[in-house]
Formats: sequence, C-alpha cells, structure tokens
Amino acid sequence: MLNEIEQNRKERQSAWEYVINYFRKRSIWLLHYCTGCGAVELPPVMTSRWDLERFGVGPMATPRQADVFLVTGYASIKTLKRMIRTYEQMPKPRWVIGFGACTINGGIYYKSYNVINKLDRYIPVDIFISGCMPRPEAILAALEELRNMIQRGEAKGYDRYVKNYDWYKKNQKEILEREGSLFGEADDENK
Amino acid sequence: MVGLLFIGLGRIITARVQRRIGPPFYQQFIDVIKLLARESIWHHWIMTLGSIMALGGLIATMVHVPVAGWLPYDSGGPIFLILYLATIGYLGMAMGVSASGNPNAPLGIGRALSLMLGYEIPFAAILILFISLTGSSSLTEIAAMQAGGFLSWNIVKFPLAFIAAEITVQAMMAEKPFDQMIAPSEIASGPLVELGGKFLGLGMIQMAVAIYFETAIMVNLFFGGGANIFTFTLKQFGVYTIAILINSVMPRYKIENAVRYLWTVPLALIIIQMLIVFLR
Amino acid sequence: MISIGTMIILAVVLALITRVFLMKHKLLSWVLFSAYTAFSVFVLLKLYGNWNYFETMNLSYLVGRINMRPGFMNKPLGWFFSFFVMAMSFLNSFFSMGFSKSIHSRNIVPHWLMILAASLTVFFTKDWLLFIIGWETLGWASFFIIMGGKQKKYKDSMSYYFFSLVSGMLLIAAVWMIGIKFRTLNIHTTTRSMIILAKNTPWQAFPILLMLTLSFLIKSGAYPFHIWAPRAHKSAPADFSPFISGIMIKFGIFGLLLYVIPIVSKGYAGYSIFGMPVFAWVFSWLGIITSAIATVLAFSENDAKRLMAYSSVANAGYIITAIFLGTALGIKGGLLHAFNHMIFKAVIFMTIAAVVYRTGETDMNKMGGLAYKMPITFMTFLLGIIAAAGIAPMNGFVSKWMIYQALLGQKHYFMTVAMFFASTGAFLYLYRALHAIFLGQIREVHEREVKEVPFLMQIPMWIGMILMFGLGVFPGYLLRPMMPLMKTFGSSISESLNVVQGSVGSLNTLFSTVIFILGVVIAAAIFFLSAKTHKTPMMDNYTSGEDPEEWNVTPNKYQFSYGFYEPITKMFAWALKRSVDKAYFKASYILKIIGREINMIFTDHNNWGYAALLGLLAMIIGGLFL
Ligand code: SF4
Repeated sequence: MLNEIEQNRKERQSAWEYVINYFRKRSIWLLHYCTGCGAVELPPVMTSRWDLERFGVGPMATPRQADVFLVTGYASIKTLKRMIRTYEQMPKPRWVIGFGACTINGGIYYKSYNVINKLDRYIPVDIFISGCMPRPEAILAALEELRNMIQRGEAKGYDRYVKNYDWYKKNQKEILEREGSLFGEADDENK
Repeated sequence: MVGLLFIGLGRIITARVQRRIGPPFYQQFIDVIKLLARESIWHHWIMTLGSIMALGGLIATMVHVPVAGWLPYDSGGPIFLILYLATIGYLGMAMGVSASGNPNAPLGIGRALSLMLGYEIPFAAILILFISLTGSSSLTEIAAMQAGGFLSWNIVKFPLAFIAAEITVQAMMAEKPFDQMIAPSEIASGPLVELGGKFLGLGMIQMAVAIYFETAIMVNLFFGGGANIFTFTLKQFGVYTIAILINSVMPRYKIENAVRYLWTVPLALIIIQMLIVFLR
Repeated sequence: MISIGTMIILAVVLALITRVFLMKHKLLSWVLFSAYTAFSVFVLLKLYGNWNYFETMNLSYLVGRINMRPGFMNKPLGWFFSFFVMAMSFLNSFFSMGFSKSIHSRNIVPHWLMILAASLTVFFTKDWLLFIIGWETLGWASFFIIMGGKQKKYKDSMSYYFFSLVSGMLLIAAVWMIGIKFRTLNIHTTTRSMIILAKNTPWQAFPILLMLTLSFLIKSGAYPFHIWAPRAHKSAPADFSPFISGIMIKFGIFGLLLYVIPIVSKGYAGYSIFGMPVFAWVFSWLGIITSAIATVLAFSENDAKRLMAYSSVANAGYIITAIFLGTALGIKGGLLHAFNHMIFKAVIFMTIAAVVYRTGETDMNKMGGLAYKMPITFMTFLLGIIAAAGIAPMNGFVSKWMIYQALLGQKHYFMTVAMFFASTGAFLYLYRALHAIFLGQIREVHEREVKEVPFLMQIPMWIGMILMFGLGVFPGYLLRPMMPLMKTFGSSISESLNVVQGSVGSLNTLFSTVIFILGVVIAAAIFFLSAKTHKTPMMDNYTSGEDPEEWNVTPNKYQFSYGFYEPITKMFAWALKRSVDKAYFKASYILKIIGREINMIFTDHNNWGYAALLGLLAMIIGGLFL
C-alpha cells in the first residue's frame, strides 16, 4: 500500500520536484480577482482573526508575482476576458481556485444572461470551494487541500491548460465571440 | 542571509503589532527559493542585465561596510564608495525594470529616485557631522571613535542626529511612510510590477542585502559598531525593529510631501545638532 | 621636430583647402581632418616631457607702446588640454565620417579645423595678444558650425555668439588693463607681476581678475551665463555637440587655471572666509550653485541634447568649485574631472548623435525602447551615464570622490551637501534620459526602421567605453602623466596606479572594482543556476487584465516619459518661475529696442550682433581716450 503511494508519487514528480514543491506549498501568493460578492470573506481571512500569513500565504499586486489565481465568485463575460489574459500572464506553476458556488455551476446566476456557469471550461481550476459565500474556515480548508495537492504533485491545472489548449480556446472563443445573450442557452451548456 | 532573516522577523513583528501571529521566521527563505525555482517571464535581456547588476552592486556595497570592525580587505569602510556603489545597484534595478516596458515600473522608479534626492541630503549632512568630528570618512574609524561603553555611543552623544538618521534610514529602506515606490494598490507595486520568478527572487535578495548594509551603517554610525558579530547583528536588528514598528502603524506620504518632509525635519534636526556640536 | 606654429598654420591651410576645393567631397575632407588630428596627437605625444620647449616667431611688432614677439611654449597645462582636444577630435572624426553621409552641413570641417588651430594657439601661446585672437576665432568658428547656415537656428546660435562676444570683450578689456599696467603682454611674466600686485594692492588687481574670471566663466557656462549651453547644444549638428560639451566648455576652465587660480591662491591678500580668499570662496559657491541650478533645470527637460547640456553645465560647476578651492587636491580633482568629463560627455553626446542619425529626433518624448535595436549604443550610453552620475566603478566617480575629499578637507560642509544634491540629482535626470530614450516601449516606426549604427561610428564608442572603465579602475594612468602638471600647482605626490589619496580617506579603485565584479559574478551565478525563463513580447504587460489593443493603446502611448519628475519639478516651481532666462529675455528686448533705434540710422536689420559691435567700438574709443 505504502509502496504503491510511493510509486504514484514517483510517477508524478522527481525527488527534486518534491523538494521544490515543499517550498511552493509553503509560500502561496494570491492574486485575488474580486469579481463577485464572495470577496468580502477574504479580509477576515487575511487579518487577525484567521491570519492567513501563518501559512506563508499573502496577497500580491500583479499576475507576474502570484502563484494562485483566486476567482471570487461569478464571472461575467466581460470579466472572463480579463481573467483569461491575467491567467495567461502568470508564470508557471500557477493554480486557480474557484471560489463559491458561482464558479462551479453558476450559483444563483445559473440562468443569467451574461454570466458563465462553469469556470472550469475556460481556465483550468485546481480546486473549488463551495458555498455561497464560503466561510473563512472553508477557505482555509481549501488552501490546506491545495497545499497537499501541490506537495503530492497533483495540482497540475496549468499542464491541463497546455494539453487541452485548443479545447479551452474553443470554449473561450465560443463565449467571447458569441452573438446575442446567453439567456436560454444555459441549459444546453450544462448538459 | 541575515537580511532575509530580518525581513522574516520583521513580518512577525508587523503581524504582532496588527495582533496576528505572523509567518514563521524562515518564511523569506522559502519565498526566495520558491521564486528562484519558478519559471520567470522576461521581456528583454536588459532585464537580466539589470537584475544582475543590481545584486552585484549591492553585494559589493555590503562587502565594504565593516561588520563589527571586520572587513575583507583594508578599505576602512569608505563611506563615499559605499554610497556610490549602492547607487549602481539602484541603477541596475531601475534599468532592469524599465526594460520590462510597463509604465508603472518607471513611475515607481521615478518616485524612488525623487525620494533618494530627499534622503541623501540629510544623510549627507549626518555623515559630514561625523566626518568633521573624526576627520576621516572611514566607517571603521567612526565606529572605533565610540569605543568604551554605552555612554560614548553616538546615539547618546547626538540624540538629535540619531532621530534624523532614523528618519532617513526609514526612507532609505522604503518603509512606510516612505514606501511610495512600491505602493501596491496605487501603481501595482511599482518597479516590481513585471518581475516574476527569479527576477523577483533576486529582487528580494537585493532588498535583504540593502536592509543589511543600511542597518550596518546605522550601527557603525550610532551604536559604536560591535565587539563581535553577534552583538553587531543584535544592534542591527534593533535598528530594523524601530523601522518596522514605525512602518506597521504609518500611512503613506505623497512623494513631494515626503521629499519636503525629509528636507525640513531631519535636516533641521541635524543642523541644530551641528550647531550644538560646533558651538560647544 | 615640427613646431607648434607649423601645426597651426597647417590647420589653417587645411581649412582653406577643404573650404575651397573639397566642398563636394565630404568624406575626403573628414579623412583629411582625421589625418590631421592623428598627426597632431603624434606630435603632441613627442612633445610630452619637453617642458622647456619654446619657439618664437621671426616677427616683432608694436602694440601700443609694447614691443611684441609672438611665440609658443610648451607648458603641461596647455599640453594636456590640447592633447585632449586633438584626441577627442580624432575620435569624433570617425563618428563624423559615418555621420556626414546624411544631411549635414559641408562647412563643418573647415571651421572645425579653424577651431583646432585656434585652440592650439590659445593653449600654447606665450602672450595675451595671440590668446585673444585665438579666443575670438574659437567664438566665431564654432558659431558658424552651430548655426550651420540655417535660418531657424539663428536665434539660438546668436545667443551663443553674444555670450562669446561678451566673454571676448571682457578678456580684451582685462588684457588691455594688464598691458597698461605692466607694459608687457607676456602671460607668464604678467602672472608673476600680478601676484605681486595682488599682494600689495589687492584693489588694483581685483578688477582685472574679476573681468578675466567672468570672461572664463561665461565660456564654461557658469550661472548666470548658463543659458547659452542648452541652446548651443540643441542647435549644433549632432556630431559637433560632443566637441562643445567635452571641449569648448573646458576652455573657460583652462583660462581659470592658467591665470586666475595661481594668482588667487598665491597672491591674494584681501579678506578671507573659512580660510579661503573671499574672491575664491564666492566663485566656489558660484560653481556649486551652477550645478544645483542646472540640475533642477534638467529635471523638467524634454530634449535629450538640452538635458545633457545642463548636465555639462553642472559638471563644469563641480570643476569650478574644485579649482577655486585652490588646494592641490582640489585642483587635481577638478582637472581630473575636467578630463574625465571630456571623455564621458563626448561619448554620451556621440550616442545621442547616433540616435539622431537613426531617428532624426532629439525630443525624448518621441523616443523609447531604442536599446532593443541599438544595443551597443545603449551600452555606451549606460556606461556614460554611470560615469556622469559619478557612480563607481567608472571614471567619473574617482574625480568626483576627489572633489568631495577636497571640499571636506577644507571643511566646506555646506558645499559638500549642495554637491550631494547636485550629484544625486544627476542620477535622477540621467536615469530619465536612459529610460525615455533607450528603455520602455519602442515606437512602431522605430521598431520597423531603426538599426544599430554602422561600424565606423561604433569605433569611438568602443574606445570611449574602454577609456571610461579603464580610467575608473586605474585612474593612475591619467594621474601619473599629470604629475608634471600638478607640480606647477605645488603638489608633488607620486601617484600609484589604483589608489587615490584624499584628505579624509583613500580609495582603492582596483579592489572595489574587483569586488563589484565578484558581486556581479555571484548574482549571475544565482540567476543562471535557477529555473529557466520564458520570453514574452514587450506589450504583454500587466494592465489590470485589460487588453491594450482594445483601448487603442499602441506602444507609442504605453511609454511613460512625459512629466517624469513632475512632483519634484512642482517643488521647484517657485524657483523656475523666476528664471534667469526671463531676465535675459527682458534685457534682450530692451537691447533690441535700443539697437533698433541706433540701427535705424544705418540699416533696417537689427540684431544683437550690431549692438555688441557698437559696445565694442564704444569700449575701444573709450580706451583710446583714457
Ligand atoms: S457564490 Fe454566492 S457569494 Fe459567491 S459570488 Fe456567487 S452569489 Fe456571490
């Protein structure tokens, strides 16, 4: 059993990667893209009550410096475009956290005329946090999970993006260059 | 190394002031290693050249600052050389980030240089005070002059000059209220805007080196150097703690106000100090 | 051995030949020019060390009641200046050879040769009369080059000419007084007599000294005469600007060192302040004020050539301060800075000329990102500004360090602080130039069209880079040959190759450079050992997620250059409002009105030149009657 896990680990990452991943997980810099209402839960996480900096997590100003792209809530078509540009500007390795129900399936904007429903179709999300809006504890839990994933070498969203680049581009194109509103098409999209 | 440790400890202090626990003290090392191991994005080879020149210049500066009276070669801690070698570091940094093509970067550098114009003048005045007292522009000798116990330290002898120096060093380290150059929410962290990966890692090492030699200069000027490397580092940390404490409770100046402030308050203090010294 | 007189005549003859026969063959005349300068460098090198050498012309005539026998003698001071003039012209000639293919006035070579002849005369002459002739020739020959026969440059070059005329008139007046007083016009005998005169009756010597000092200060662009410098540099042909900045500004320094400094430092018996004659103290301060003001003016300057002209004025300010200190260290620092400045400023102006050659622009707001296309020019400029800002390890640092030491040694603490201001300010505006010309976003036009300058124009840049770095690491290579020169100023320290002695410390340039290089190696090791990089285009930038193209933001608009130091400029707004330019403008307005009234009698034209000529006439007539 333990051997198997070890085997799996070796397949995913070399020993060097393993060491580096240790440093990566201990220093996660966030770029929060505060699109939605969920962002109000971030300040308590950062400040003295929950103190995110304990885990080496901190806010950063530009995509070039950040490791994790934190999409907090619904993404309208207009912001999606900016999100994609920002995501592509981040250096690898880069991870995305989808924050709140809106990023998973649209949440209360499920049938909105200009909000996308599944963020994962456009940029590769490593981990979702459910809830509307998620509690700070949930955010901490998600970060903990992300750290474990990074250590195990499983958080490879950026690789998925490279591999399925055409598919992502096609989805992005579909939504960005569409004509008319999304209303009424949302059903099809989620099938 | 020590500089990085300082920043790490400084982050804890800030956290404590803000009633948080703060990161572990070795957090900065983790950050730097992570950044160095990361893919980095560059726009032109001048960025590389600038980063390397900056770190090289700052390391060279650090080597010239005496640590507890010790120097790699007999340069005596030449203060002018130190000031101007540090400048080549800043020039490298400025050049590198300019080449990234983001207008925020030169904007930040412009602010940093304006601030430099502000703090160099009171700092020069402080240096001149000590040079006139010792008759030597060597940091080693200025530190040696204060030998013999707590009471012969310059901080006790020239308290006003110390306050002025503390303010200028605050500006030198770009801590609040003088952090216009990196203002993250205003100009997207200014010079650092396009730096990712190892450029940023090198940038953090630069900052650490700069903090290290700035505090070392302060210790040599005001705290009588140090008998051995431990007391010296302890004093350095004391200087840095003061800066960090001010930093964690201060807002930010507008750049012209900052320069004006630096040209009035510290300069006035140092001139009063000079008058006291020379008239006595 | 070829005499100095022959060299001068050769230059004049060559000037005539190029002017009359070779107007159509620009390249050929540049080759001739280059050959002449190379030849004179060779002749001068042979003359080095032969300090007793002199020659007299077989010619004697009476000026007033003074019997004149013009001649030349080889003095270290003159030798050094003329050596640098020739060497820099030689370097420049390569540059001009490449440059002159584009639109370029044909008159430059003959006039430049005239300038060379005149400067040889000034530097080696034994008597004041030839000095004046040379001085005036310098003025008009350079005026013709600056104006280049273009009407639109008339005003700027006229202001240069006006200042040279005033300088010339002051010189003539002073020399005339010297002649009356001592019945001789020999420079070296009158120096001795002046020292005695200044010792015994300072108030008789004072006006002569003052006039001479002012005359020389005008030439070196000191405050408040600095306004010609940016104008002249701006309107001069791009490949002549190195010469103006490197050499022409130094003529004033030469004059001061030749006559004023020895007298003031040795023979002054008036009041003294801080252990220094009031006279020298005032002009020392004037020097530092000049650099401070030029620095402030340079902050808000948008034209590359004007900015660098202000930088030259600021550097001339340091030199003036240093030499008026009168100590051996001060004079050594000042001289070294003068020579270093010749090198680095000439190189900087060459790079600007290279930029002009490729883009046709000097307005910094219309440039940017040229480094990506002209890497060698960029590197040269970079080393140049490192030297100009006085940053270690380039040559500018050593001399600036010596000036600091000289100031501190004499306990001029406030001057030191003021110099710190000017020096840090220099870093500010030089970085601005670096950014606005060479870094940031490149314009689309330039992206398409600009490329590196041809190899011929790169030669002087490479040489300049080597010189700047070499003299920064081993200042001894310049300081050692300067020992005989320093002996004339009463210093007999023997120089080592890489250790410079100051008054409150010493500087080992070699070690500090080695440590710097080691630091760079460590940094490079860290850099290249860490993870790989990945290149993106220039416009792929953090823009808060926006796509610049959608907003019609082109690279032209994505360059931050305009109003670069606005906060600082705002701080000095009160000072800039009361600028000297305005005072001059008013004065010139009044002069124009007077001139018009007078000239109405003769002609319809009016200009400053006539006014100045009338003034000259009035002075001559006045002199005859006195
Ligand atoms: S998940 Fe809920 S809280 Fe979050 S953005 Fe959507 S609606 Fe707002």
